[in-house]
Amino acid sequence: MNNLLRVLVLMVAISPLQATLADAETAGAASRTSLDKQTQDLKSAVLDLNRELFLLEEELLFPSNTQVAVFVSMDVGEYFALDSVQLTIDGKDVDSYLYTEREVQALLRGGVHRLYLGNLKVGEHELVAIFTGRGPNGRNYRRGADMRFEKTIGAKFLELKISDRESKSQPDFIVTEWE
Amino acid sequence: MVVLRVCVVAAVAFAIPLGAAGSLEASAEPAPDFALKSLTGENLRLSEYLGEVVVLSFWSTDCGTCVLQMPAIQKLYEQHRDDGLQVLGINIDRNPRKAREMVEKLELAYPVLFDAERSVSREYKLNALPFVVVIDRDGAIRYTHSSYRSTDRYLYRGQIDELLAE
Repeated sequence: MNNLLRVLVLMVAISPLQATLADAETAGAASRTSLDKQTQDLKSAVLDLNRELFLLEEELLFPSNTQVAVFVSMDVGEYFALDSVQLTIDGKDVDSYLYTEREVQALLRGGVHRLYLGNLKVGEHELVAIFTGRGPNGRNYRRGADMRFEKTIGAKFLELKISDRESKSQPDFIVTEWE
Repeated sequence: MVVLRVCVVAAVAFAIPLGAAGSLEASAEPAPDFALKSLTGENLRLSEYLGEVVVLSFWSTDCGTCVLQMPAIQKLYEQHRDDGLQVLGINIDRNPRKAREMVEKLELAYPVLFDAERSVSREYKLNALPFVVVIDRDGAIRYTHSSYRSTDRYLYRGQIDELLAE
């Protein structure tokens, strides 16, 4: 009888404690969820800021008056498998790029790759691009394309186009200016 | 005005990581991207492995410890490649012929890239061999190791397991 009474007293004493523990667990879970959400929000805010910084940086480093951008595009690609492009402006190596299989496939699907972004002063300039890859019959292939262009006030956009010349069963490399 | 915006944005951007001090992610630096030619002739770019845990293993045929370390890395690759682990071996020899022989001898199954001009090595501040960089699924450098003892393979495994589980 005495024991039963002690158990009852103990149960009565513990029950508020159990309720408090359950409340604390619920509160803890809610707090964890809230913390996770806050972390995700912070990550997302940092990404947004990063994007904005990147754009601002480009705006500052490459003002539109002196900006020159060079793009690479590819059409068909039956006679040429692109491996790399080396870019020279006014006799100075400014960029070189190795293309992966995935990047070549993206170009063949109509993608355009920005190879170079830089600054040039107003006046005449010369661009030389050296393309390497696999040519007809799978042989190593290296070809150049060049262009003299006039840099005026305002951004200048140039495109290195790789296409197939069906009549000669050879690839064709040309440099064009975007109007 | 633009400068002011940059200052404000920069202040906020730098304030956030400071607030998160102590978090491993907050201090992890993004791994510099690169593309190199591989032993098989294809070009591989690091950023194409985003979403996977990547181990960069810099080595040279002149480095005896590298020869001891690479089989351990190969084993880890075999065990975890299906879980999302990618290993890229980066050889820094000037002449790739000896490197090819070594890869065949050690039966390395992971891609081996050539950094003969050492541009990538410079980017990763390589100052000793073997050098290992462990990159998480978000493309951040989480661990680097610039020496090797046989027990280090357990350390590598623990770190890789941890990053694969994230």
